[in-house]
Amino acid sequence: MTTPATDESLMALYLQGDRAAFDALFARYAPKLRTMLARRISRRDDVADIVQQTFLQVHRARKDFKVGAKLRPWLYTIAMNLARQYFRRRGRRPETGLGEHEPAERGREGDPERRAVAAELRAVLAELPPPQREVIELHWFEGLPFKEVAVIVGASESAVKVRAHRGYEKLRGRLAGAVTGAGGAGYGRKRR
Amino acid sequence: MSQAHDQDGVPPDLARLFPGVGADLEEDAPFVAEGLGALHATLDAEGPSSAVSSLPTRVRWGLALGLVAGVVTMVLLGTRRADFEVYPRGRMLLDLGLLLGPLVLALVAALRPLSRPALSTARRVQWVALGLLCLAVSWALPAAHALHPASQAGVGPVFWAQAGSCFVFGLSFAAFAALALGLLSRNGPTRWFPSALGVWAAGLTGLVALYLHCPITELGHLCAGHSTVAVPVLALVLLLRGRVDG
Repeated sequence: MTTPATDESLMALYLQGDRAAFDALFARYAPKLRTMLARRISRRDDVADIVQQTFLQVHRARKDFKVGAKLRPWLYTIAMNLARQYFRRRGRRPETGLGEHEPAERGREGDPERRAVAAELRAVLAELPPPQREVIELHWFEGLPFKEVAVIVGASESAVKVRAHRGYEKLRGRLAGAVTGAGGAGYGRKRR
Repeated sequence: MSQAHDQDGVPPDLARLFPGVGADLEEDAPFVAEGLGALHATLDAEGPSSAVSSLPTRVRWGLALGLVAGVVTMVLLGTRRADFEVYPRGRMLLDLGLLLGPLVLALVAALRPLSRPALSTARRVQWVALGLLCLAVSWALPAAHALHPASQAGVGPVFWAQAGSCFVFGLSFAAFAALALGLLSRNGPTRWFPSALGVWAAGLTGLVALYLHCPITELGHLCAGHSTVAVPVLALVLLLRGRVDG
């Protein structure tokens, strides 16, 4: 059994001119980026365009990539910056299409209780200050560890943890009834 | 510090509400194939100029600063102001600092790569405000001296000729800098703020060249021949903004 190539080894190959390695990175990350962007942007064409732009910028900025650095936060930083520009151009804040484009959420659309909680979560997320909201989206929805989130948003890891904590507290406060219903405490969800 | 700060996981009570959020995605072969096709076409269409914009950012910053240093050197060696010898050195350093400070900030921001976290809105506002303040102070300072006959030229019948000459001189350097910075930039037409900063930096390069070249200190000449370099620069910035918004 062969171990899949790491992001960094693929990037190293690409830096040596191996376009197949670039294609492998695209195949690995384009769907993830599309899902992340689709949570914020409802127009599918715009989402696909930003995914394209992200990889175009990866190509243009490839010589900025430091060998030994993690690729994923680097890639997500580009995508997040392009998304910010998209919203700045349109003069509006991100939408929160939670569940709308999430394959794992499909099939639950008929559950009125869950839909109501999802709608509430969308509303509460939209009320969070952008720095808290951004950190929660990256940490929770994208499953990124705080260390990588810190790189992406350009803040220290401890600052990011504080933002996340405050954001989660607000979410918990607003979703109090639903959270109680979901039960249980204790951390430890494994990060990808 | 509370417990939540020390944990790397999502609070389980919240995670349990949305177990699907953040899950690994299904394969999406059509999206990948279509996207790769379009991406390859775009990459294949990139011209030779992309070799310059693809240089590491430190190199691009170095080249941009080298461009400004080159302009300064060229003007000082070739067409420096006639009153250069009598111009108070401290005042000259102050004047140049007020132009070069915002110029360097604009260059750094204009060539900042997307792979770095974006500048916050507050930081952008601070940098733009600082640049405008430096220019305002630069224009508000009284004439440094009136010791050289060349400094008193540019009035009377030759006013418009002298002003026009300075305008063309400054704009030439600004246009040259804009072209060079355009080659160094990775910004597409949708990134109006860094593009606008690039144009602004090019305009400031033109003003630096003019400052080192023209000895006339008469206010009317400065307004008509030097400040007007900002007009096409502003027009280009607004055009960029219009293209992006449009």
